[in-house]
Amino acid sequence: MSLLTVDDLDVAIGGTPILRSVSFALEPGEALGIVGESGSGKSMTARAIARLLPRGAVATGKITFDGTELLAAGTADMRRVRDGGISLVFQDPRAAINPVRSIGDFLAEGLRTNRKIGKAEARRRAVQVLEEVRISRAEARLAAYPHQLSGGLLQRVMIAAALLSEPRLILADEPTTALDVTTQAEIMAILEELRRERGLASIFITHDLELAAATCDRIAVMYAGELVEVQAAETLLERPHHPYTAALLAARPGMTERVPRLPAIPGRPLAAGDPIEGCRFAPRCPLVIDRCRSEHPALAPCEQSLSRCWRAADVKVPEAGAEQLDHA
Amino acid sequence: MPDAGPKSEPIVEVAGLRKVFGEHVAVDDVSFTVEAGSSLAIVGESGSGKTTVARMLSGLERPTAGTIRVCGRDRSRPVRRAAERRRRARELQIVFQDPYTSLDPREEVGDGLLELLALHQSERPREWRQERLMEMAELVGLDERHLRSRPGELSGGQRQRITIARALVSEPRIVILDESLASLDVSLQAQILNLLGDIREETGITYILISHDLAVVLQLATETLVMKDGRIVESGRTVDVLHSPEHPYTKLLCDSVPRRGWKPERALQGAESN
Amino acid sequence: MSANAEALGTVSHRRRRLHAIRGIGVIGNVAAVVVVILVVLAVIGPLIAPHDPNEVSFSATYGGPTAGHPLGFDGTGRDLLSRLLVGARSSLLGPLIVALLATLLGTTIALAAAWFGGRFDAFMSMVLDILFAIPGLLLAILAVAVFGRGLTAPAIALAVAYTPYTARLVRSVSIAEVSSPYIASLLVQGLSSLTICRRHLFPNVRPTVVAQAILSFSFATIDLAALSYLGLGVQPPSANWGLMVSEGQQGIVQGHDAVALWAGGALVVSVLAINVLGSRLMDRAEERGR
Repeated sequence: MSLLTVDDLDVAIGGTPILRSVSFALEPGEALGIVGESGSGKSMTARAIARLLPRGAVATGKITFDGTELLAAGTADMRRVRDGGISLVFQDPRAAINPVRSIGDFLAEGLRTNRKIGKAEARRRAVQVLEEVRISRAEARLAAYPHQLSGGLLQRVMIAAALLSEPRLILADEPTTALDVTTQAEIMAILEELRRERGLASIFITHDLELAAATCDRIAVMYAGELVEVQAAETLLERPHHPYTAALLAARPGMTERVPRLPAIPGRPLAAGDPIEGCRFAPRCPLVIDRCRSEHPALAPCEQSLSRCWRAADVKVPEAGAEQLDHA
Repeated sequence: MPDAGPKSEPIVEVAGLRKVFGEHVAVDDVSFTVEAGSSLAIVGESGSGKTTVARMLSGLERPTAGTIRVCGRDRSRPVRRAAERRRRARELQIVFQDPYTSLDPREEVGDGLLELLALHQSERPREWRQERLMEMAELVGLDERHLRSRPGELSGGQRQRITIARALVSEPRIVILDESLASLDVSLQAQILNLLGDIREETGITYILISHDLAVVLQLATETLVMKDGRIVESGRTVDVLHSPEHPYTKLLCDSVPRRGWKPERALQGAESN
Repeated sequence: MSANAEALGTVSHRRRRLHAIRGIGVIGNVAAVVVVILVVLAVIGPLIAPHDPNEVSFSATYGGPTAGHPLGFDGTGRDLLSRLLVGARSSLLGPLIVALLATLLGTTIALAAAWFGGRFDAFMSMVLDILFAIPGLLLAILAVAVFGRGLTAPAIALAVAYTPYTARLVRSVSIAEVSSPYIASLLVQGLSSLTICRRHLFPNVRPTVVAQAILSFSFATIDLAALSYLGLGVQPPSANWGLMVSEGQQGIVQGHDAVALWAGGALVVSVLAINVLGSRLMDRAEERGR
């Protein structure tokens, strides 16, 4: 049975759609990457799952975690889901931690209030999780304050805090975007190790397709509020089946050589709220045909992928950032 | 850069540059030259001192020690005289990272550009400046409607185009791009990278690119400096630095870039961070 | 897209001008209307006053409302409505001078301190801290002792006393603005400091300045009324609300409370309206700030 299923999830704020019929499932221990540019709805998907929607947002559809219907769950059910079910890691660790309390206080707080665990035992577990995220001298770090730690170290503390409730799913929203590249690699390595050792499932929200592909089992690509492609990470980079995925891969400059001109995606992203008939990517798509402008495609299987495209089979393989799309 | 092809005129010369904030040495003994028409990337992570170097080059910070020469003239010390400040503005401009805070929020972006055109092209007639404004908008792919908008009505990519246009108003010979592409989505980043390439082709402008993104660096810069803890640890042609890095830190940086077949563990083995 | 947004912006901007100030709520708008009425009265009050405010009819001392005298008479037999209308000017002009002066001084100091920073900023902060220690009313009373009674001396003294409040607030907003990249860009462009401050920095802190000016005005209304009440401000027989409360005091003892009530009420309504409007504008400025 799937650990998490999102079924036909719509989110709207003040009548403006933000998410349009998002559906996917996550198996226990699986790592799913949700990739998209700003405004694609990737963060809103995470917030809907965490039940942290902004004020005024209305979510419809179904999100089922381990048998609990999250959108309909009461306070007690939600508390159970948050304590031992889903843990969150955010983009900016400094914004998510109280600057005047020590790391030890921060880590022990949840344990002592939610689980009625004694001081010494809470401390022991805090040290244990800090060691698990490879923080050296964990015992001594408990007395440190957030400002004494680097951004990367602080993000590890946040991951440690997420582990304390022994979750089955970690939901990480751009956890490395605010960090340096070398630190990003460390954080991703730690998350991967934890997944393996604890059998954790994870949802990793990012704008970086290559990073997601390198660290996740499966990738869901979002555009203008909807999923446009879902495919195993292994094959996605080689065989994208949605023109947007292909265009994203091509637009990113490579590390091998300089190209005279990057195949940029023309135009600007559509907002989820913009009304449009047909495919939402059609105005920018190199493969567009008449049908794309009138009929909205469904997320449908094409070879090993799920793609929301009438011409999924015709999508070309981009060559390591160097190739020119025909429209460029 | 000792072996960078035929010798042309050095347009930026920096020697023994140092900046100390209180007890903290942000930039330590940094020296480099940039030749006219080439482009230099200064690569490093937060705290490496790369942004402080950019701020000193543009006159926003005063060096504690060392000299900066741009277009053959010393600019290690600030000047007060208006004419001299305008002259410096016509040599070198800077584009910052965040297009959201880089524009006056209360001013229509076209008015902002006109104000600077009036400053730098005061001898030209009004009509010329108006025409030039439209040319510049076209150069960065914007139209009259965009010029009549306030920054809040524009997208991040459009704002960054405006800040690039603004940097070009004084027709400078050098533009510093201080992480100017970092906050943009991939599809916009590609558009702006192409735009910067076009402008270079058209004007022969020299870029100094401050960045932590090695793929962007490879795309735009011919030469690269790698900075760590305020010092230069490696420098040379960009392809050489990125493809056969010598300093362990440069290697770590290159290994940390996610790409096909990349696994994060390798980077972790390199770094046992504090 | 953006042309659309802009067109919409202009339309709603016009509508806002005609109907209501957006983002300050119903109460804020009521306050705005009251303030507008007060300003109109201060300007045309003497013109629409039905009688000479100093015309005395001895028989009518503390007389109640009659035809032609809708609010009745004060203790000296002068028409109450006319004195209220004529008094609006001196009761509101004083605070206006105080607010304008304090805002001008405070904003200039604040912008200079934020712009130059360093030692100049530290020095100005010290000077302001010293000024903070002196209560405005005390300074005004001292000014009266030295320069004599009337409106000018206390108004200037109060302005000096209010300056640090404006300066402190505007300085903190300006410092955030000065460190913004758009200011750095303009510096690198070679624009002069004065031009940047005048054309870019000031317009961006203006909402705070305006809101603070309105608060200064309301405080000054109370403080000047208090001085008049103490007999240190505007001198009889001038019509002034503070003075009228003072004069009406004797009437209360004799059971005639109309004078003190009307004048006091006018003061309370003015201060309340101006205060509400000021704080609402302030909230809105804060909300819109980054």
